[in-house]
Amino acid sequence: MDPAGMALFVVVIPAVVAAAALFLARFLARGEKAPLWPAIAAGFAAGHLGIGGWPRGMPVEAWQWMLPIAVLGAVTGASYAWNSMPARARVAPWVVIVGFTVWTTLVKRPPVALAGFSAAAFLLGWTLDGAARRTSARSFSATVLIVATATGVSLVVSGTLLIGQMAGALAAATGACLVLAGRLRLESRSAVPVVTALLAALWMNGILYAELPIASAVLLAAAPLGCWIADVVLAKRLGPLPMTISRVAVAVLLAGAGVAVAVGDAPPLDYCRGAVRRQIVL
Amino acid sequence: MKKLIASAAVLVLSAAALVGAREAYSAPESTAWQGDTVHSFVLFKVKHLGASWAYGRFNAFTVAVGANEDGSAVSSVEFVVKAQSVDTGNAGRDKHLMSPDFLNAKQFEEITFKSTAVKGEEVTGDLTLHGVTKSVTAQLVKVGAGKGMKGEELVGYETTFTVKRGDFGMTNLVGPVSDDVTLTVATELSKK
Repeated sequence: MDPAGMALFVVVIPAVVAAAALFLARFLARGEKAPLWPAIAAGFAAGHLGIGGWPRGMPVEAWQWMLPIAVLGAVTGASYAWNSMPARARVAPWVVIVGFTVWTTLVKRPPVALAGFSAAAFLLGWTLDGAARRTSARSFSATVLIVATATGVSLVVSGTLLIGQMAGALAAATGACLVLAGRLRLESRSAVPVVTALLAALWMNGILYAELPIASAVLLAAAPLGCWIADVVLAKRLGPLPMTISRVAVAVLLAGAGVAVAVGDAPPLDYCRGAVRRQIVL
Repeated sequence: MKKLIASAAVLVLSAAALVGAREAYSAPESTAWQGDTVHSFVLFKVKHLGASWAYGRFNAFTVAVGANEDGSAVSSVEFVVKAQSVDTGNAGRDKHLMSPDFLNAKQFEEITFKSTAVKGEEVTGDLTLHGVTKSVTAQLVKVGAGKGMKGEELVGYETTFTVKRGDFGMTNLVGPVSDDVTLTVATELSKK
């Protein structure tokens, strides 16, 4: 894929599809807040199709499962947005989406790995839910945008352009939500399942099938938690603007640390630099 | 009644023995030959940016061949390659090749070939690459024959064939790295 194609499939199409889905969601919401989940799921799915191609039968590779994960995440988000659902019953869609994400991504791994990654995904979902509950849709989108962008960069330097581009599609879809959050009334909590599932799938793919260091994924996953903690600690002391700046700063700091770890641990890219050097010498 | 059952049993056993004997008679004589991995090579080349060939090899593999007594006629070919042993002389590039962008070697650990038919020097078989199995046909060329250090009989074969990696689901970065991948398997065999 040339740079123009990459920009189209990784940034433009996911962002445009996400924006269109958001307007449709607002139309269907009829005066209520428009949920973010259709935009994020549709934007990511469009990016996945552009980058990975149209599926030819059942997924074979672990990363190919991210498309069904996005669809199931959207369904889970829809059920999550159903206000009359009893609080206890909300656990069921979570179990389904986390179980499906971990099971499809792990492929023939021991049960202990299944349990470990599931617990980590639940923890991520819990922190994202905490962040979504306490902050505006704009702040939530900004946090996810920062984490997804940092995830994309970390994955690319960890040796997988393909999965890095998928993270880019998630970032682009979320970026569109962030831009439109200034114009539309949005609801972010129902987007937590799809964001959790996609981020967890991206990190697991990076750790298991590429060279993404676990420490990098942990730091990236800690970014929403950091925002949440910053919110709890600083909310009463700071005004809205300093609070937003603090939240973004915490997210950037933790996600940036995740990128730094990935860069430090990255496989050497001297075969690219070597080509450039040879051209100069010649 | 007992005599009838006994007669039927003898008849069935005799028929089975006859069928077995016929199969044993019609089966071609085949001796197992094992690839000497030190003197065998699994090589590949792809076109890079349309400008040049980029070469690589796999360092961990096994080759087994069924051939006649003197190794002049092959009846079966089988090889198993560890995808994570890819070696292009550059660690960074090797890791990239092992990632989901190309081989996805941590998910699809082995590249295998098992012949399904051998007609003279033409070998047809199932190549499993990147988790996808496709039938491929290759020309097997006998390189030579000789004696080893311990006096054992040796025979060498080589085959080169081209596959489209897209057919095996490796569609990423087709363009900068060519769709066509040319594989060469060269092996020195010694009698088991």
